[in-house]
Amino acid sequence: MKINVDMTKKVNDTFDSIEAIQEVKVSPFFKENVMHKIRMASEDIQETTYSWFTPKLQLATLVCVVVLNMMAFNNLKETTYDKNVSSFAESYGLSTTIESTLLK
Amino acid sequence: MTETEFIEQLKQKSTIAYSRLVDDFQQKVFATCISFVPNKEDAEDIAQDVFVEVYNAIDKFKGDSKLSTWIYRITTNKCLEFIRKKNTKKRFAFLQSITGNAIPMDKTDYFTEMNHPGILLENKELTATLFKAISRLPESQSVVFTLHKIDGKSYQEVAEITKRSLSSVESVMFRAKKNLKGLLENYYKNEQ
Repeated sequence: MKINVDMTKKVNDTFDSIEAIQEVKVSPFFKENVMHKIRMASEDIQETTYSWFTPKLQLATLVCVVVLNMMAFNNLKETTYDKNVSSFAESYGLSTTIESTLLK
Repeated sequence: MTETEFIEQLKQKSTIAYSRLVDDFQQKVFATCISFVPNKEDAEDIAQDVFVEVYNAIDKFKGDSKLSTWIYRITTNKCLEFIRKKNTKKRFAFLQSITGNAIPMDKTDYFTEMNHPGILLENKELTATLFKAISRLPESQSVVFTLHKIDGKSYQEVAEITKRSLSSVESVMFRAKKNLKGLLENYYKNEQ
């Protein structure tokens, strides 16, 4: 019986020990450390944003853009003024070369 | 400034906003951390990680709960993550000691060295016993018990942080107390 009473007292004392825990103040340099970590994290984000776009990829992209421009420019030169006019006339039914099938 | 405006500034990564956030929450976040991890250095490290996580994840905050609740949720998760990691390390060290790869191992079964400046010297042993007993509870029970009894949060706050109903928190708390009592009785029985 006495053992049980002792046991209950010990258990209760253990539970009650929570009430005696006092508040612990955070270190004075805590904020400074956090702000430093946040700055580091923001630099990491900036670095990772374009990290995949390596100089090799940048050069390859530049070459692609130049080649595409040259091809487009050559194509533009090949198409003559007459061709453009006749295709315009054809599309709007102004062409005189096309005979109507009804007249045949 | 309203909370919505403040959150908007946090999303824009304003240094002034983060400085204010740390001012407002450093003590509360640290208090929660040291409630879960009774070691001042570890708790401070976790609390710092919480603010970095807030910075990185603020875009994911949808505003369906209060900002403080969201921050405490991150804090709780960070603490649980830390405890899990430490326990895994302990288990691994134990296995290595069995297999003969001698690595100096801390013989205690608690995940960290107790270093809580808020615990009075005369209560040190009792509180250490209680913290060890809490660590043996199922995670859901240890979370609810720690947030309510040690960190001093209300049932309503615990319910919001753990995304449970009030009645569920009450029932988990009841089971936690019952299990803790059993664990402590066993501990003192073995001690005799």
